[in-house]
Amino acid sequence: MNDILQYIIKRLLWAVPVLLGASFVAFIMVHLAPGDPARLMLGERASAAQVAQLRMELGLNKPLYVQYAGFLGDAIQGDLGRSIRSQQPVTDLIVGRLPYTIQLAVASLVVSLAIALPTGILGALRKGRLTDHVSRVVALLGISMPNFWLGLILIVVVAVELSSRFGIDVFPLFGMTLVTEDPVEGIFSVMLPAFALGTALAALVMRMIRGGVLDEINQSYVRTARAYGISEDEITYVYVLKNAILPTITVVGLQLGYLIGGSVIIETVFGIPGIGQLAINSIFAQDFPVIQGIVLLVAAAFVASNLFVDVLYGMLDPRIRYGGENA
Amino acid sequence: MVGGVIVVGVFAVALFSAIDDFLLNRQLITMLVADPYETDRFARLLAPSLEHPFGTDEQGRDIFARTLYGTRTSVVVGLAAVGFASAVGIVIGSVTAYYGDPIDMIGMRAMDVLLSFPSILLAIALMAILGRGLENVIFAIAIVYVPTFARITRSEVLSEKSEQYVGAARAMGYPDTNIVSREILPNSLTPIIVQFTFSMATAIIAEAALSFLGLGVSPIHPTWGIMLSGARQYITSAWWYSIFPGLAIMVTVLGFNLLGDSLRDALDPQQQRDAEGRM
Amino acid sequence: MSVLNVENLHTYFETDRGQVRAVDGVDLEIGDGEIVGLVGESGSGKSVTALSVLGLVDAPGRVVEGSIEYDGRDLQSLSDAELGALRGSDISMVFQDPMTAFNPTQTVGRQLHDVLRTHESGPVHPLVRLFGFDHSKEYKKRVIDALERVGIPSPEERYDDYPHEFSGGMLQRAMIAMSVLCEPSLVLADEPTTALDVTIERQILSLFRNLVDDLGTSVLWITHDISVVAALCDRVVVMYAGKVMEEGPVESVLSDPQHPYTKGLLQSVPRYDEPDRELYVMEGSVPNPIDVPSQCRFADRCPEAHERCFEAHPRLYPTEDGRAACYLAEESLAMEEKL
Repeated sequence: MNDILQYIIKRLLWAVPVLLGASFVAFIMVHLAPGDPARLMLGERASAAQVAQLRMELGLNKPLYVQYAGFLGDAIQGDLGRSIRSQQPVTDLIVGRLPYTIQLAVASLVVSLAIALPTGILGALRKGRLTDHVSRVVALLGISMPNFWLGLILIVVVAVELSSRFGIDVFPLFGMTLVTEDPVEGIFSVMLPAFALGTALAALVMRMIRGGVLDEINQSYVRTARAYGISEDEITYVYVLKNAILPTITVVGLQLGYLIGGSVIIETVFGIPGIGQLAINSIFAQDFPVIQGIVLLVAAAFVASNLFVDVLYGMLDPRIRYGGENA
Repeated sequence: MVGGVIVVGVFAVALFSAIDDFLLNRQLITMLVADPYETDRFARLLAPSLEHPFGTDEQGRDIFARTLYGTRTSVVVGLAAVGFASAVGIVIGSVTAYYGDPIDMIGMRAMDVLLSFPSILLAIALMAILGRGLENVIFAIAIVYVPTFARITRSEVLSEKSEQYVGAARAMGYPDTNIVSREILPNSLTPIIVQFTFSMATAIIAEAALSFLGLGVSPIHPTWGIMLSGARQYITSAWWYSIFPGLAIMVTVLGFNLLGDSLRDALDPQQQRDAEGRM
Repeated sequence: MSVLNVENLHTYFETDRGQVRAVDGVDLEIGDGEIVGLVGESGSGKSVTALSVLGLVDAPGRVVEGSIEYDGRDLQSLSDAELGALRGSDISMVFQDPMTAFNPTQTVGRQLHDVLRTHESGPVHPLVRLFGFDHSKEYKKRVIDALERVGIPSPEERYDDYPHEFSGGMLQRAMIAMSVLCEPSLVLADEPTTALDVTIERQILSLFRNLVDDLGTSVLWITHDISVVAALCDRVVVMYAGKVMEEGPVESVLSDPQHPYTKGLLQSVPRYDEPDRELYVMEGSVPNPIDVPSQCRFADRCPEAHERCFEAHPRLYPTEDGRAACYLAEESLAMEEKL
């Protein structure tokens, strides 16, 4: 147990400088943009006085490190500044959109695991046979397909066709309902976007699981188990599978970033009012505090989820506690 | 094999459209298919036919011609971004590995920071600040791939560094830069080449995604992402408009992925050794 | 009465480069309570012989010919389920490297528990096993007893330890505990001490000796180390390139080897009592297992090879109290008959 604690502390110590760096990048981004941030924020038509006023308000006249310290101090307290356009606190804007993005990301993860686990396992157990070849080709296509295009196709092929040919309108062409508001509608409305976003991840995880199972099947301990009469089912589903799936947990954790990033695009395709759409709208509105807040929040969430996954892996896989760096 | 053929084909199409556009004033493509820029208000959103194999868009432009021309942007952005990223990544990776702490620690933490942003989000945020344009797209995508190449180079150099020939070169008093560039890097190239190929695949998707979101190159150019973005509005009425540019992306990306797979299988000495060991 | 009787066993591997004749006509008999040493260099086919007995040869390997009789039953005619019931309970196996032979993500105790449970109450659904519903206090106690019997200190605590938390020697003890858990009548030990250092090796050997004396188990002890055979075994079988070269009681084979290969093997072992003796180095190397020549497998390296040896591989000829696959043995046999 002490090992786990040490391991967690080690990972935490790694996360702190990374988070500091990430916050600095989010902070400096606005300053690196060509031109005066205040001018950028107010637009070309603002008067010099307005710009000077905003510079004062934002503290842009102070030295950079003082500004950063202030930004960081506020961010830690949950204050990410105010939107230039709506004047609402950035934190409130983000929190209002967050449930949609979370619903999409979680559903995508579920979809991708639901596809990847059975196909990956089956592919490995039937290596070289038809099931294996088909699932590998499909996986390759899945990795090669841009998710937003898949989203468009799903809208055309599933939503439009079902609606126009059979009068089934369960999949909305646009928008998403939260499961907390209406569970049934919520699930149906998230299915197509989740499939669009989850397919590439599914393909990736499937490949990993297939490779992992193939690796494990050839380990000596499998022969030992066989030599001691342990049933093939127990060998496959208890011994091999556990060991094969554990390392993929880390990969899935790393791909949470893909899910968050990908949701920006998928939200645009399906018109989902999540963080991604907020980000895109803010970009076109040149609403930099909002963009800054989203970038910082997403980086923090990403680092935190990686940390969580690492710790989870460390607890589940006894080998890691001794391994150290290869985690 | 298939991957190589697709990639060569993609490069050929890109080269063709570049030459045709800049030197021949689009004569060739107009003769073969149609002028990708020519609008025709009597031929809006036509379904695929012999005259327009991929149909036409909302301005009556030929989608096949535009899809062919779109290859250029994807290839240029992919090559330039991944080329830039690999160059910077190789330098960072070799320097950090060769000199060790504290340079190593600082460099790798910096890479961790870059990796703490979901890649497409980082590119989007950079585009938000830099504004649209070819160089900006290349730069935004390149930044995302630097850590990958830095990490691969670092681990390769670290393992090569302990090899005897490096010690010998050092003992003979070669300067560090020579040892790294002449001795270590050539031996570490394989995984970098493989990663380059896979990164081309994802960079092409990233470029298309940025264009799709309206954050890519200037909208006057035909690119696959911009075409798909335009197709969204007509998704229920003109399926061909969203299908063909997407297919072009998929085939191209598939080509790079396949090539990457076969390069890895062919070049990876570890796997080769395993194959030997199996008898 | 013999526990195991293997006759004319051929196990071949079909590879891209051709057919590898890993085991090429091996006879092997193990009596009740007997410890038989199977000696040979690596690649001589001794491990594959043991794996063939349990039906554990992985593709592309296959038993192509021969009979394997255990306790009067033909093992090759058994169904997978019948063979599974036999494995670990009637015949068990101890592997060379305990660190890889155990599953790294299961506790050692749990893995022994699985073996005991499988053979006492049968296999369970994977989900039952995953949630640990099959775990029983009674089995746990018996596993702990077994761990104690092989000399693992504080076995209750070690029951919940993972393989990497054990030392190599302790883990091999645990493996031996697993092998005798169901009181088998035959243990196949595949170089169980090769991965351990010499002092631990001696401990394991005496542990084995005691277990055999207590339980009356027969043992096939596979090794490349002839000194281990001298310390432990009743009878020895010498293998070379997939063939049995010589067999007989340990004392007579070691003191008066009949086959030139056995002689070479013995002379290449350093001895304390003759420190000045020059170590013998056998010329040449093991023949390519693909395209096996029809001549005597050892002929190319044999200092006593003559014309006949290059014509065909000799069958096993009886010697004083054993057998040897050598024309010299046939000739001395013929001589004796004349006298």
